[in-house]
Amino acid sequence: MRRLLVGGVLALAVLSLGATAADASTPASAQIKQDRASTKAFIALQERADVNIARSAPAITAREKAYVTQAQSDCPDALTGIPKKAKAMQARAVGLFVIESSAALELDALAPVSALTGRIAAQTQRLRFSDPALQWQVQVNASAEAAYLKLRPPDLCADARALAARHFTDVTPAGARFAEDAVTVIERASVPASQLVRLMRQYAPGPVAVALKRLPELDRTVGRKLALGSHYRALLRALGASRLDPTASARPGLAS
Amino acid sequence: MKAVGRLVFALLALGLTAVIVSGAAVAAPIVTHQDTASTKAFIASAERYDVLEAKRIPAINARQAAYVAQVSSGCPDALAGAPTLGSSAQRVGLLEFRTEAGAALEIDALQPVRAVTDRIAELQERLRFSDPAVQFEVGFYASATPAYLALRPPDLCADARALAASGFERLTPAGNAFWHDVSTLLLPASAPSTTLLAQMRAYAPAAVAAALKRLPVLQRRFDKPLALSAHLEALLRSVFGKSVGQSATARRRGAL
Repeated sequence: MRRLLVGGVLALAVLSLGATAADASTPASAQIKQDRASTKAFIALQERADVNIARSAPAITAREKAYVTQAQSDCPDALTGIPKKAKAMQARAVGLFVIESSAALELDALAPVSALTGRIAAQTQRLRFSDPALQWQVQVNASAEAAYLKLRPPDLCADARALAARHFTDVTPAGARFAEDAVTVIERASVPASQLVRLMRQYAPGPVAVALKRLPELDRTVGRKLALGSHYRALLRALGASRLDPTASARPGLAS
Repeated sequence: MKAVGRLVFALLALGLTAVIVSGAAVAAPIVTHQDTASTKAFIASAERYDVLEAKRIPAINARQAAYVAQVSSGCPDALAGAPTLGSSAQRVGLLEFRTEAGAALEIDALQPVRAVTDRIAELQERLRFSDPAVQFEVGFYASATPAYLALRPPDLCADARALAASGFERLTPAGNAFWHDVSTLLLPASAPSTTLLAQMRAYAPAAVAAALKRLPVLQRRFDKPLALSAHLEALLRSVFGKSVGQSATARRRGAL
């Protein structure tokens, strides 16, 4: 809204201290019934979202496979010829394509759960906390998730062909916009649910303690069942771009 | 990690975000009438805020002077003897205190514009854009300033005394909680409207171009009369006694 003067002066100092921030504890007087109810509701909604995704894992996985198969038949090896030593422009373009393709695969795969996930995000946004900073973080996280699910990926095959046709120096403007949008919202949504739950500890210590054990377990279960990473590698293979896999030990395509 | 967005987030964690800060050509979005209307409404609201705040500069300055006077009489020289460099724990403690003091002064001083801020944030959050990422960003920034101004600063003098009593290493729990909240909200609350306007350029090019020139001029017009930095300096001088001057001298020596 406006550049707060002291904010501007202090922003860098705060950033440099971010890693050393100690856990906050809101004074006891601020603990109100609404905080306790919202904490419990937040935990329940997070668990429901994770359980929903875990249950839908077979449908999600089936869509991932179908997406890879489609790419395999529509534009096989479209990215063959990615330079082993990329110049700066090429590294940038290829990086944008990695983001675009991974978000496109993920958004397509999550279609079976997007309606419920969107509803859960909307319910989360309606929760109220007395701490304005916590309230803001909860809302931002939920709205970022909802925004991510609303993004519409461009035609990946067309973009892969365009990238190759431009000697890997540029993605299409539509691809660049999609990648930028995806990064914007994902970065804002990157605070894990358990981190937010930890900030709610004083409102409902018992449920929070239980949730801090259960949420990471659920998260691991979801991670095991989804196998998004292996499908993404399969997608890159289908496009003839295995060397773009940023998780591989050797990353020649992105090395420079 | 959140279940939604985990693939893209995992890739971003590998350092791919850097490619986004690249200036790659980004597609002009499909522009709807609503996008254009929302962009113009956004500009009008940002300008209205600046104009309304300018009118309240005398009230803001009066509050700043009163706050500085109150702290100066409440705990003069409470942090006298603070080390110029000190241990890392002391540096963190002192920087947290300076941040707390700056934010407390600013939040108190800006109370006369809080109602305006809330109204304009509500208006901006109701604007609708066809691009989910732009929609999200508008809400993200619009909600941060009201959340920041809703924070309740703790007793600054109590924190100064607690910091001195702990060997300049620790604030009170309330001060620590406040510092944590400030560090969460400061950056998004400090972002100027022009940050978002650049993303709306395609929706109303002429209006955005004019606003990108006009808004910084408006902002500068009341940056100087507000003099938040000068009041903060005065506040810190009263609490630190001579040590603020000493550390400034040391900084100058270091810079030379």
